Amino acid sequence: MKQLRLSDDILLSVEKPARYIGNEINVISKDLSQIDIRFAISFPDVYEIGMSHLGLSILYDLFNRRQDVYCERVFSPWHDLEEKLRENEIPLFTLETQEDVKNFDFLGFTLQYEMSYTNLLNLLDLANIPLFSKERTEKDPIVCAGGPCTYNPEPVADFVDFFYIGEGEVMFGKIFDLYKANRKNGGSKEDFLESLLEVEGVYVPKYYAVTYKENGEIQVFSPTHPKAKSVIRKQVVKDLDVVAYPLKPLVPLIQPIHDRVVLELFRGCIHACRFCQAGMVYRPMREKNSDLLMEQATELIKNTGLDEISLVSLNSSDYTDLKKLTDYLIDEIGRKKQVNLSLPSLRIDSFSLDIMQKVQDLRKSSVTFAPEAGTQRLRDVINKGLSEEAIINGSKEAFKGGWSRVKLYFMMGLPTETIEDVEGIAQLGNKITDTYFSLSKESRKGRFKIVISTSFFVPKAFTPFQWAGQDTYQSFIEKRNHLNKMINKKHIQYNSHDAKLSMLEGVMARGDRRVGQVIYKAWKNGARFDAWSEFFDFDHWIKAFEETQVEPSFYATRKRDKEEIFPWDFIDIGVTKAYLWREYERGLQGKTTPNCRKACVNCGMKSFDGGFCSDY
Amino acid sequence: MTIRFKFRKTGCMKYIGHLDLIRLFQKAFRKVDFPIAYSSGYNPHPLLSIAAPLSVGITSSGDYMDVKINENMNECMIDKMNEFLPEGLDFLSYTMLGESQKNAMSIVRAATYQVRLKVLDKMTQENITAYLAQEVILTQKKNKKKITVEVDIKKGIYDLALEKDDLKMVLATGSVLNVKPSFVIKTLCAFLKLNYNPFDYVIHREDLFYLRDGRLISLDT
Repeated sequence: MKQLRLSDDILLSVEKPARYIGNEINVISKDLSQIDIRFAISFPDVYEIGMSHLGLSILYDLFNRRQDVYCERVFSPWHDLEEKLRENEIPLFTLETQEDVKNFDFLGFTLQYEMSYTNLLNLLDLANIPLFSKERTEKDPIVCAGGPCTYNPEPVADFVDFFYIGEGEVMFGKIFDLYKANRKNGGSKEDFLESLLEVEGVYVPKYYAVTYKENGEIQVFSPTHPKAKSVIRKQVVKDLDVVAYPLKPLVPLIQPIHDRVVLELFRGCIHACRFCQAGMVYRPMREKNSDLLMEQATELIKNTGLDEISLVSLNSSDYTDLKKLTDYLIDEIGRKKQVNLSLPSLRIDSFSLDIMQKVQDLRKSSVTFAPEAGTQRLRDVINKGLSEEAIINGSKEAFKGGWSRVKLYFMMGLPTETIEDVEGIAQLGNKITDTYFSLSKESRKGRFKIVISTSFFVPKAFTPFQWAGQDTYQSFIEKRNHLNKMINKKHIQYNSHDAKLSMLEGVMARGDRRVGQVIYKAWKNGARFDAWSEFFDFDHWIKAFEETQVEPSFYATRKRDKEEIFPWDFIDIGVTKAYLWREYERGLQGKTTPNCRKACVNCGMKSFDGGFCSDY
Repeated sequence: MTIRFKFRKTGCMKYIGHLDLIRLFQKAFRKVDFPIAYSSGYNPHPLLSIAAPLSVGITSSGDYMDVKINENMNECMIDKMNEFLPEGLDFLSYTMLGESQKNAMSIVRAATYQVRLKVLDKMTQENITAYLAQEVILTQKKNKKKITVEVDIKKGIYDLALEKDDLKMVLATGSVLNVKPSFVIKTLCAFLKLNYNPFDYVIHREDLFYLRDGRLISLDT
């Protein structure tokens, strides 16, 4: 029987003790005497969130396919356990073997949102691992990180030994081989990190230095080691049909956020929404074969006993064989096995409504649109190819089909936004309301309701808007209040994000190495679980900015010049800076750009020779 | 048709609550295409019920679940489910119920417990006899309306004896009268003027019983 690290008096006095015991269905256990490399993989948030993340599941499966590697998981302990761990001086441990994280060869983080940075620091601290890379010794694990946030790794560069830029499937095998070879040769950690300099996609921050101009902008960012590459090229899988996919994923004993089988349709996106980082950094679009997906779906249901299957991609409507695939999932798996199909990120039109009608409980579900901006003018600026006509027609079809609830997502503070654009959000809500009530009473079903949610725009690295200034906090609040007054509350509910959080995200997303000190101080001041509204305390951050003399507006609200060297410029995601600038200018002029299937606009991705681009 | 499974919940599965347990069983049933029957209606749910759900923190070697099935099951499904379920959760045996038999949840009247004592101080058979000789054994308990009321648990303690380092208990369980082992330990500690620390007592439920002709009979038979 498995020996747990925590005793009953701790486990039975915290919320959801099952977060800390492992022992899930399909959990991997290995004979430690056959293992050369022990890897602790972490999603720095609470168990139920981390366990719902596909990327983590893919890497867990990928690493453990190697016989000489044992990959185990560690998540952020909830605040109740953190207290107990600190009080009893128990260092953080992994779920599988319940062993100290500190004793592992690697500790790898996936960074999915900027507001998890303080959790990364807290996790290191709870594991008794020095926070700063330079303070760690041979005894400490090698700390690495990947995921979307690391396309601008600089804000956390001081805490991480190396970053992996891109998709893990490509180079981790080589990294493990180098690690083993180095140990065999009696090499030090430094020797290993040096050997990584020859691996594509790996960025070792200690071998790079930055100097700044008087105005605070970067003067020079350059390697300090002869072998360090001046450009780090993102790693992408060329053919998703041949790489491993987790067919026996872990099934948690307690309910995770998403308790369902996840089927990845494709990676990348053909659209070029100018605010969207995922749309740029995950290029090119690479589809998986539909026959393979059908096989995998069957296998996944068989291996997990789950009763829901979810199709995952950036925009499922773009999947070429969507009809064939969904027909199969509904007829062969859904009906025969009582498995539900869930279809997030689907464009609402008659085809998708037809599928949704087959698989969803109309009383419970709603249709979702993400116009992102309230007017056609601004939607053209951001290149969001969703017209008012499509929204109105889509809603009308949905209402006729039996739906009565609509969700709408918008961003405020987009470049060139005026008060008319903000008001346009409320007007779009009214137009949808009119559409509903224009239908005959007999054809209106259910209780009509619209939910409008607005977030505040955060300019991100590697997007055409990376040069843009973020709106000020004051302006966010004014716009939100104005919109709140405009919205017809009879049928429309309005939700808004926390503007303070968006401002901080704005600092992190385009921060440089100096921002690392702010994160460190904020953590020292008590910040953690910042993405959780019940824990987020802006005061920790205000104090941190004061203590470090870092001016948040320099990173968030400042508009950049074309020539400025960005902290992330040394990373090559395939899409070129020249293309991004072109798109920025076209955006400001309100000119739209076609998607990759309609025309190639030479974003630079073709140089990667894979996926959609290879069709040209 | 209804099938009654006997299962056990040991090791770290004791940290899994009742609702999560049901979800795990549902996954196991789906895994092997078990012919479980579903309720009719708009949101069909599998027809299963667990007798006297165990509190988090307690292990068991004799728990019972009744499952309605549409057709006969294949016996090898049980092995397959055991292979699939996490370590510490196993089906032990099953019986087919006759048409007239009531479900396990409604007939349970008693449970046997083995409580391992970490502190043996003052735990003697004489003291236990004296404790049981009290006219009433009062404890505080929250009723269904969440109001704390004082209840007498004495008539629900069918047996209490010391066996080496363990306290063995037979307690009233179920919808008619329900005495939790923690009530007994708490009141025993108070009687012996001992500090009560719940973690000094490791509780294991051995089996569940129903009443036939005035005798307690295991649900297994």
